[in-house]
Amino acid sequence: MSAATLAARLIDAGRESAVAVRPARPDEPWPEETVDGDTASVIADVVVAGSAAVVLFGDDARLRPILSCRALVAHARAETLVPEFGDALDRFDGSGRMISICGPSRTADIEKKLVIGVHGPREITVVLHGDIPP
Amino acid sequence: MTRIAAPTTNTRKAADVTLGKREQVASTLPWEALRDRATAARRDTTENLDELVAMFTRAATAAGHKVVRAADNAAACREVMAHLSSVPQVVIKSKSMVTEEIGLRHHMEALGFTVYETDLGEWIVQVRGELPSHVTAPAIHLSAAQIAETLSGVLGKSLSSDPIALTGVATDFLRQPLRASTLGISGANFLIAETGEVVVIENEGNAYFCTSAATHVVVTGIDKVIRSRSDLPALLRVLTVSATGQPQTVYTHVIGRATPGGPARTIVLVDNGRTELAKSAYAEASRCIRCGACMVVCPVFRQTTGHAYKTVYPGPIGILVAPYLEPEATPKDAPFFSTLCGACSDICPVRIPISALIAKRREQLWREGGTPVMVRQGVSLWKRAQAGGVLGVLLRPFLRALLRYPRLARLGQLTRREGRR
Repeated sequence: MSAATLAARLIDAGRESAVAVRPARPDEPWPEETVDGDTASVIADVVVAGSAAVVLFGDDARLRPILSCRALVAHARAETLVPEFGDALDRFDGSGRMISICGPSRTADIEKKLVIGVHGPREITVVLHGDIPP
Repeated sequence: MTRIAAPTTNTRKAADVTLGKREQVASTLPWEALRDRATAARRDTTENLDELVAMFTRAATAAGHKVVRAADNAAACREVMAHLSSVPQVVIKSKSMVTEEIGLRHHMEALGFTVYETDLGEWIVQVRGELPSHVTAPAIHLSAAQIAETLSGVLGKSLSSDPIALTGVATDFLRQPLRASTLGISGANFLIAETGEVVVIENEGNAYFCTSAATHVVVTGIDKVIRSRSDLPALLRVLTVSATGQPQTVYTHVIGRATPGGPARTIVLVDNGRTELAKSAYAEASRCIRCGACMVVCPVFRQTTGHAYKTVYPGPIGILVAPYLEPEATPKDAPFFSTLCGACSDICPVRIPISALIAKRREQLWREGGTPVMVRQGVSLWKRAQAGGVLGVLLRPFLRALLRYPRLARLGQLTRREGRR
């Protein structure tokens, strides 16, 4: 599947999962991973286009501060995108944890009413870098 | 005055929301093919349970986790406590039916531990002192007004019954323990035998904190084991779609090899009747992935709520697994909490013939002489009427009347309720 096809699927899925997808601004460099106050800016290990899930690998020293943030901005390149969850799992080397984050944390435990924003990040953005025509 | 809705109405309303979403999402997927794949994976589990549990145990041990097996409730609680400091501390817990089954929270509380259920629905039933009424939607029997009343009492302030506001209150209440506690307990949705990986899914983010605490204990059933990673995508798909109508949960955690400085992890594999179930005449029930779809679709569950079953595992599948996992709690006449309409079998994502197995339990109960008196007498009356003769001729008009005026059957219901309380 071409990067363009994957990007188009990602944007569609993002709409379903409440994940914002945007191209990197021309002056926006490939970032260092930072957790700054309420926002975690991370390098996505994989992004699942079919569900707009941001997938991170690693140990909890990396993941805990990220999961504690209000907003998650995940940076991705063409090679970060895969079609389905199974493809992401294939890339996990088994060390530490793989976490797939598909949209803002949510619950519907009270009368099945959807409430966005519980313990995990409540805003998710995927930033596409490089030659991915979104 | 706040109107407090009846639990059955709450359950039916919530069940309809889930069924509607499930239907809609399933229609966008190759649903029958996914069910076939998931069923094959779970059949493998049931048929090769010992082999896969041994394989998982080896792989997870090699991955740096401590793996212990517990034969029953008491052993499971003992194993959990053996891996904790004996000094009572604050424990954060994510949702797990197995910990309900073994009574872990009460066991720990009796030893002086403070245990926070951190899943919203589970926390609500914890503060109400109730069992979850559904395996994935614990507070499905409650209205927002009832929840507001409960939480207002607990927190000592008057809360509105707006679900957003109530969720906010719970989130604030649980934030500090979730981030600060060094002891987390979770269940598992699947255990991958080939890799020793533990899979946990959730929507709120609470399970992340529970599974990444400095000490993490996984308490789960041996039947959660699956052979390989390749089984996982189809299983996760049918599980989330069936449970909540979501194509996937917000979070999927695949916990792999231990890392330096990472959580010290113990995995307690609970048998508690599961080996016996997998070898029994009801072995197919051991395929269950605890989605709860058979519950929300069941006319009896919808009308009576999960609490009517008196067991941790309610609903149609509960009728089949509870006699093995919680024999003491299971009412003798449980196989009669069913209309045998077959809706459960139709909806089950791993194609367990639930309705047929419930009928089989009824037959077994009959053979063992355990059938409730009213049912036995009813059946024998019918048999006599069929047999003809003077008695048959006299009986037939009476039995016809019974069919025409279903209210007469309430007599039976009254007797049963008295017998069970």
